[in-house]
Amino acid sequence: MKSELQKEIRYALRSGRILILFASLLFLALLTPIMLKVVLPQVLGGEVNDLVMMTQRDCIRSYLGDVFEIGGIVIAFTLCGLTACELQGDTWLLPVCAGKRFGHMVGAKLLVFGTLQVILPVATLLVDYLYSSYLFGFEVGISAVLFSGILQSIYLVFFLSCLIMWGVFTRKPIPAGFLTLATAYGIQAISSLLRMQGWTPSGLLTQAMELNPTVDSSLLISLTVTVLLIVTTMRITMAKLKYMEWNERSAQ
Amino acid sequence: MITVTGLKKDFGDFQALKGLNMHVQAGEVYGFIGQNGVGKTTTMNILAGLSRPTEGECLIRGKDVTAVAHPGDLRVGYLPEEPKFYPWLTARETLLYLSEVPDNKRVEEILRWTGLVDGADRRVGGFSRGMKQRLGIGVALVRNPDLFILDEPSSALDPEGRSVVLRLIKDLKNMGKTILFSTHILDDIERICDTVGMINDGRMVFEKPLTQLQVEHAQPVLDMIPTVPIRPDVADALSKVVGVVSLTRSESSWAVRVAHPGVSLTVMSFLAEHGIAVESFAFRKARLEDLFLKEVSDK
Repeated sequence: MKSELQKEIRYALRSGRILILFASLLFLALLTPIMLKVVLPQVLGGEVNDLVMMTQRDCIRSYLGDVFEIGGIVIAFTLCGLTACELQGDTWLLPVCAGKRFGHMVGAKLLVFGTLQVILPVATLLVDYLYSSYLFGFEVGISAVLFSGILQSIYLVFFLSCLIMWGVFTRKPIPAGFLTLATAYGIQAISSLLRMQGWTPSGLLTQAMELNPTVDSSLLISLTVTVLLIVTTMRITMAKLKYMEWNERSAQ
Repeated sequence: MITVTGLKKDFGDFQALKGLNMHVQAGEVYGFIGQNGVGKTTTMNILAGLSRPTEGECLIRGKDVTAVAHPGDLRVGYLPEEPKFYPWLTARETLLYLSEVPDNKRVEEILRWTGLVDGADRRVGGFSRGMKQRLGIGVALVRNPDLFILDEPSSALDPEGRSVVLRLIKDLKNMGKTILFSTHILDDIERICDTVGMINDGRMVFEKPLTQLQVEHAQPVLDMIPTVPIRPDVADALSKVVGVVSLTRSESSWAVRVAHPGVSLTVMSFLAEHGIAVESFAFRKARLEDLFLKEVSDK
């Protein structure tokens, strides 16, 4: 497993994936406070502006929403080739013949990029927290921000597991990205419509928006469902890889 | 080492293999020849555990290839036709990544053996096709398997690259390894193979030791370039001379297949009788290529 982890870390660093993700999330983290403090008042104008009082809490919530909506698209299309390109480009052929286990190859991707999905959003959320406190003043405690950041990161790990699974099924990066976005936005839309967000990974985002570091039964359900879904997507991915025929194009 | 019996493989309605039989002995270099699209890569994929047969039996060291849970469990050094590496890894990192247990000393040995020491710390993305092919053979050796399946290892390489790859295959043979390799460069087969198997339309046409094949089909060939064109009636008469098996014209030269070398005297006399001088009159053994073309045209 160590060699697989090393390989994924090298890929993340040398392909510039970390830089792209960090720059995109940092951009959102810095842009959101500016938009709410400077641009929005100018757009709304005098009287309306007095009615809409933006706070640091609103600013952080807005950033969390942006990460789901815009950040999700960036993550989907930055990491859509994680498994799809390996299959499309036949780069998994030699490792498979060399005895590399599917569990290790896929697990290393989930572990390395999952860790990035925790570190980068939390780091940029802290940037957003500090910058919004500079513009709006301190209102929210750091523990609440960290708690929300971690909940959102767990959701993003689920998002990543979908990318890995759809990549193996489609063998094409762009369709894998679209299918992952469809899965994430679809779950969000359906669970909102049926008022059952607490029973889906979307419940983690709802809880994150609360900026309230307390663990209740609803959060525990969302966490359990998310972890179960991550495990399920990984098992489906593994099953698909196990019964896959390799090097087909060259043979036909 | 390898026993294949009645191997069939379907891709939808297309039948790629139609009951292939094959036997590869331990320690030999087996040349697998055939035109493009006749089922060489399909056979090799199945033997490497990468694809499942529709029907038939494939045994490697007596073990059914379909019974293993993972292709890597077959312990076969496999080199696909176009090995794909991670372009952002160096050659050294690639070998270390694909090693069973990372062993710097062994990786260093392989780099030296494949002649990649100078490029060891360069990213594979910048490698030439020949360097990639050499790295591919190194990768196949990294787990020290006793069986190698190499799909067209010398194709699409320049003469120097081909020569290096053939040298590596010879080295593997000297290490006591068994090698099954496919190619359409028949000269390579004649240079390094012990046994030759020819596949056509998903079936094995013949499978014989190279030496036996050369004896059985060794009808000598006279290549000659006449100074004046040979008239059709004279060519017809020449083809009827006792001992002349066949006569083939290729632009200005003629290839006369004869039953035995002594017939060359009769041919020379015939040409002298008809006043035909020749620029060149070369006697050679029939090549595998002649046999290959004959088998293909017969089919």
